[in-house]
Amino acid sequence: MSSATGSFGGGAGKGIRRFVPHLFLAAFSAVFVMPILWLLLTSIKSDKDLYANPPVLFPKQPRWENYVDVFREIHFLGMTWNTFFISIMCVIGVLISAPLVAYACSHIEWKGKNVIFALVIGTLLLPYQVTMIPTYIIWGKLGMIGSYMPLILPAFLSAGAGYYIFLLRQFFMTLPVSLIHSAKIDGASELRIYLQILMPLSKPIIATVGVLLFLATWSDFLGPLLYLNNEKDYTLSLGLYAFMQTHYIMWEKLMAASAMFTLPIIVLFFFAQKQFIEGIKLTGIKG
Amino acid sequence: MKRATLTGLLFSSPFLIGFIAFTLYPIGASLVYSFTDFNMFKSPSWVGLDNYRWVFQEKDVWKSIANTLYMVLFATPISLIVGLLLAQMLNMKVRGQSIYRTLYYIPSIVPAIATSLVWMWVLNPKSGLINTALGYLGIRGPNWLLDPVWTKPSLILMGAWGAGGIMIIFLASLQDVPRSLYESAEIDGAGKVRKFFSITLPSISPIILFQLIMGLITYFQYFAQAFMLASMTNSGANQTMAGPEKSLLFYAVLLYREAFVDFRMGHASAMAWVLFLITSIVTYLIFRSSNRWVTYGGD
Amino acid sequence: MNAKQGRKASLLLVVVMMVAGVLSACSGSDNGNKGSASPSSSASESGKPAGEKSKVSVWYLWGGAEGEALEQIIQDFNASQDKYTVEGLSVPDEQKIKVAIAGGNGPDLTDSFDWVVPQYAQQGIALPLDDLIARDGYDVSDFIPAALESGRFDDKLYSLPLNANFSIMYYNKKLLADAGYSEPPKTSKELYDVALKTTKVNGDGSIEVIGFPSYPSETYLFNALAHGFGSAYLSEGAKELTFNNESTKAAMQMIYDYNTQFGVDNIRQLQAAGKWLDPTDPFLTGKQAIRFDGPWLSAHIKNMNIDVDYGIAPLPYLDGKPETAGGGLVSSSIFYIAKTSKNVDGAWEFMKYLYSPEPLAKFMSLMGNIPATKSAMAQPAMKDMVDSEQIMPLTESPNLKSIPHFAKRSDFDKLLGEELELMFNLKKTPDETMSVLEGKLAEFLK
Repeated sequence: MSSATGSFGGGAGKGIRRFVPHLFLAAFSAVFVMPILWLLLTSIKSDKDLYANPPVLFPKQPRWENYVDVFREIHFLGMTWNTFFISIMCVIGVLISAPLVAYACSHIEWKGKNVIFALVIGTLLLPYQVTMIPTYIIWGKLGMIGSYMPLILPAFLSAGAGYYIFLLRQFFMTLPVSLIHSAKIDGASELRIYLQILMPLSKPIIATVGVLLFLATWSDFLGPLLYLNNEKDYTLSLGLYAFMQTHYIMWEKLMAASAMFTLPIIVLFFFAQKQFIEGIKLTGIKG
Repeated sequence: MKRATLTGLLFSSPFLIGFIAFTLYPIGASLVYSFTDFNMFKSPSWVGLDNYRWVFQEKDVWKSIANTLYMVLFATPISLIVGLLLAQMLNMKVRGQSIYRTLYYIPSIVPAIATSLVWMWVLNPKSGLINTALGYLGIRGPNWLLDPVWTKPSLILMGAWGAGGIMIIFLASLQDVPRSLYESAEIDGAGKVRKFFSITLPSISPIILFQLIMGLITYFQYFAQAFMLASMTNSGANQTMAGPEKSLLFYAVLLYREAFVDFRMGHASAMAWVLFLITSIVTYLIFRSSNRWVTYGGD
Repeated sequence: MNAKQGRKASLLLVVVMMVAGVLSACSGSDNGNKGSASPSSSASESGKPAGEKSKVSVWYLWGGAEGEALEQIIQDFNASQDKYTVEGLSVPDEQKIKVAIAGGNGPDLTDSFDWVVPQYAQQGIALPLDDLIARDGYDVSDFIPAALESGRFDDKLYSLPLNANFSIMYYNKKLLADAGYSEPPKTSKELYDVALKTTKVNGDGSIEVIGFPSYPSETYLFNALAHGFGSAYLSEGAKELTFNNESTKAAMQMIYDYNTQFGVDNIRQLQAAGKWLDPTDPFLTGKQAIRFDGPWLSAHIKNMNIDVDYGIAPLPYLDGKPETAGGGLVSSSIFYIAKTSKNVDGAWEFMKYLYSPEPLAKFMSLMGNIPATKSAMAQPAMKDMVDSEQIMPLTESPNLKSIPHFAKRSDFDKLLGEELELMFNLKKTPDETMSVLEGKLAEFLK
């Protein structure tokens, strides 16, 4: 490895040398991609190919109808919509509430500044198993089980968003204090500083947190499993279970559904990655 | 009240309300449950320290602690190293960089159920990807998920495969290392390897600390993959969710079993609290030690 | 820098637009939900007779085709009367159902397996049915006694069985013929002979064809083997431990011997290489000579058009004890009413409908299961069940047994599984295992 990369980057590299990292990245990515490739190949297998003996990797006759079958057997569009709705609401909720508290423990000089930050870090260390049951009981008492409330409302109160508050706070810390000071001297209120100075400067980190959060809620399984009691409200991660029957797995449909489930977030990542990485970089996460 | 305090409180209020409702109250409730015999149906009855005594005496708890520590000690560093190496590779300036990055990142966003099924194929001892490859080298690969010695390494491999999230953070931090540092090292005649160890690593040490702590927390609470694989591999009715010879009985799996299979909420709450304390102590110790190996650049 | 910021801004714009879209559509989806949530309005709209229909929620663990079969029965029920509307929901996780019942947000009626009955009875998840049965004079004599008893704990009946599952012996005719057998094994000795002769090993010791029913798992095999040999783990009413008997010991020894001869690693490799009833299942690929499994295997082979020439026979009995022939362990899928049900009457009405001959036969034949009532077994629909003419007669054996329930059943099962696993892996001998089990298992009966 070191010899391959060592020859590259000498500056004078041309032709073959430029090709080496490609070869290397491609070879290595094969390891990562093979399982995904298998998923995709399985998703277009016919019964005959699935049950072929000995097993075949490449389907002899691709059966694209598997993808159509997914729509026939589960309410794929409805579930996609539900998943999207929950994810986007969580993103909105956290993006409204988390920067507020991140600001309160970075640029507002008050007694609680460090206390709040300690609480945020504390929530990170807390195993979710500690709070899961009592939380479920609360939602039960409020009569909200079976609705989207238990999945969405906590986001608006930054519950379970410790990691994102942390990222935001680290980013805010990198902003020059002088900027905020001079605004204060000009008589600007904290709210105005927050909305008119801080927020515009924070677009990259807000985008990053949004993407991270979207990815996390998109594939969440436990939350929807616990709180949704109506098939109409099911999310995709729950819907996938329809393809696992008591006695056997409908491999081709499960894989087709998984592929479609993952595609939107792959696209999202592909287009957002630059900003995404930029955003993380700017937080300069420093302990 | 001082004006700043009022502002601070106002800005923190959504979080504080959420904290009280979804953290403080549930923690308090589960602390109370941990001193009771409670099964969600009958009202809790006080049992003092019995549940904690149970935690320390039950041999399944110790087995689960051993299994969990195995993951914490091996899986955390391995996934960090893989994530860092990937980031280092993907930091090379090549065309199609964003495609490569996406390819490496995909595994970490595939839904868990699909990941588990895909890995059952990868780890299939006869026709699976790994053992087929080993077969070409003339090696007979292990029985991965059905061999108590190899179950946890299987999970570590899966974890490394899904290290995309870790990679992204490292990638961002690598791009943040000032070029000037490398340039002056090159003038001194430093090679690739030396540059990596004497410049890259120290520069990103704060990120390593951060990732290390996040990794520890993840593996202390390790649950989803183990749970899915244990329930899928043994084709019979496997109610124990513990894997071959209890090799996949992790702390969180046992906690889940106590809570939702056996409905012993008292046991489960006590276990959860013990886990919380252990995680806090370990995190604190790592923070304490960090000033010896973490360097905060420039400032 | 400016270009970058521009791109970031445009990303934000995209997010904002998505949000706007969501918010405008959100109200629409809410309305939709409301409409479906009130059955009374839909009833009056469709011009059904007046009067409120009360909602009964039924959750089930099945998915796919099996779930659809139940949904079909639900529809039939809803059309058959106008007091109740049953709403079905496929829930893939049993723990979720339990938590929901505990929190009072669960179903009225749901399914599980008979071995959970003691636990669910004690935890207060399931509602005793005795009062309902007495009130309506419901006739339970139609149920197969062993299956019905599996719902009883502490003299109360908590569930009704859907099916009577027990293992039968499937054998691959070609593999047996190649090894010189024209008939399936009838005794323990013949079984082991066939197993040894039909097992084919590769050069590296890995198993090409497995002759023994070690697949899918030894845990499953052990219970079938021991009961087939005539063992009973407990005396009637779970008063005494009768685990230590020659049948149990023979089953333990046979698995131990086979594993010693062919190597645990090789057997595990085969088990891990194929997933049960999947394309990779060795019996379905013609690489397993003898298989113990439920009657659904026949249905599966037919539905999937799998090309394997198989025969069906009762489990082998212990050599020299022909009076135990036709033995086996019976277990059942069950339905039970949740203790926190808000519509017990509705749940009970649907339950009675589900268990009436025609719907039960329809449901069970589709799943390839033997229904738990005699009247359903006699239904014409059961003739459509694959291999019914071979399987049905096996249900009449007097040697089929179920494990009687007792309070610590789940702890008992757990310990039994753990200790046996060590023996299957050759880490303990059958004698050591037996002496540990005898002492510890008896503790759970007190």
